[in-house]
Amino acid sequence: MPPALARGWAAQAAAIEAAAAGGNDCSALRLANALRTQVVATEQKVPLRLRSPLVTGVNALAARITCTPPTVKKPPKPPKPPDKHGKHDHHGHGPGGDGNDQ
Amino acid sequence: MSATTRIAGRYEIVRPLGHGAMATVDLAQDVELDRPIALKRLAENLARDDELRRRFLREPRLAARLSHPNVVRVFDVGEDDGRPFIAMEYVDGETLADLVARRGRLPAAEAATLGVQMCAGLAAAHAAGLVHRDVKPQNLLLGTDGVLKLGDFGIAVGHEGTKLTLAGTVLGTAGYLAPEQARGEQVTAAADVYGVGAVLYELLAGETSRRGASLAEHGGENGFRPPDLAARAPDAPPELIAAIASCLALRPEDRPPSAAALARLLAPMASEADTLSLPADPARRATEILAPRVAPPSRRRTRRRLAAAVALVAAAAAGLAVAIVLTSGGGRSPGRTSGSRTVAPPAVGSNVADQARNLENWLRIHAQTSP
Repeated sequence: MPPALARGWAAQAAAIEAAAAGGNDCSALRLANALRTQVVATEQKVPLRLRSPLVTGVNALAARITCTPPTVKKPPKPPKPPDKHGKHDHHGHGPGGDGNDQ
Repeated sequence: MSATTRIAGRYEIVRPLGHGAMATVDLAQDVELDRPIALKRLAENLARDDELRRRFLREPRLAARLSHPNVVRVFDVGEDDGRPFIAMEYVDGETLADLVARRGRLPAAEAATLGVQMCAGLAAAHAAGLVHRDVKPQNLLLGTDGVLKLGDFGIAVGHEGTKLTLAGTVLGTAGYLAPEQARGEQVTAAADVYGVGAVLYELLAGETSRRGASLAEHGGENGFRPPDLAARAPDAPPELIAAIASCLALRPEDRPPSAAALARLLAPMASEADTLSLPADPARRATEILAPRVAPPSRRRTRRRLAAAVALVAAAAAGLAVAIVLTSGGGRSPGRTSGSRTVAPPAVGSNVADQARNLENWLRIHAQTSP
């Protein structure tokens, strides 16, 4: 395999390792996807017998990483305007007023 | 023409062997003794952390006490331009992790031969009062001459490391930790005997003795009960299966009494039994050789210590392949297949970081493969 190409990808794999070890899964996934894109785009430069195992390895790595984005807190809803018609106008299928709503 | 980098006035960097987030490992030439060495250096950005520097340099100083054919020798430690370094024996070969990734299950006799060599190295360490505490395939370097060497003595040590593992942070090592070590109890040389068993299991089965990446995933004691080895290695002799099962006993006192005793159990099944040198019976049982306890860190220092341990474990992981040949230059390269042989994909790691490291090593190994 062309040494410069392999070393460049190896450095990217090291960055993925560092991100994953540091718990930055989303960053690791972004890097892994970027690496996969590069490998797929440049695979014709890889010797034939290495191509399949390389793509397999890169795909497997990217597929293994799960990125759970941090939950974004929604801004509090503004208070509802006073109901003109009073509570007797509700027609939905929510819990009825007779239940024990606590 | 590029200028040669010289470290500490005597180590000329030849080429990189491996690197990770925390450390770099280069092949270097010791110009004073005219021999190749593996030079591991703490990453520049970490070298400013006093605790990391101290730990990086302390453990190799312990390992430097050892001189045994089955232990990677530490020649020198020091600092250059503020960066600590360790000069180690350079081994032309591959790690057992690479070997399993490349070949899968090994024949029983070959595994037993490697087991005897592991035990010989550990017996020497135990006789010197050292407990490795991190015996795993990535730490075992097999030279092209067939000699197995135990590497990186004590770098990933300390109860901090164990606690990190419990917290699920240091995932890669969890699969080889003895139960008592995982629980943060007093560690003895019996933990190393357990590690040999875990490695032998993997050599025979082609997979680790435990599922799950972290101790949390392993669960309680059941997590330490390996799947039936006989079913995974049907051609292995029952004596070997039994020896490995005894190494993996939950209680340290139920394991073989010493690494030397385990070597004697394995030797009759080894392929090169007549040429292997068995360690002498030790004066003490493995359970009597205590690993030094580390005082529990104060709350204030916990975060810093944890960070230091993480960094060192990662440094160890980055450098575990330390002394292997990763680029071209004549001899046989590790993990490289020749001719029309099928090339295995990078090994699946026990966690994402491991897997990324396997990919990295795979790429470096094949960096020189001619089309």
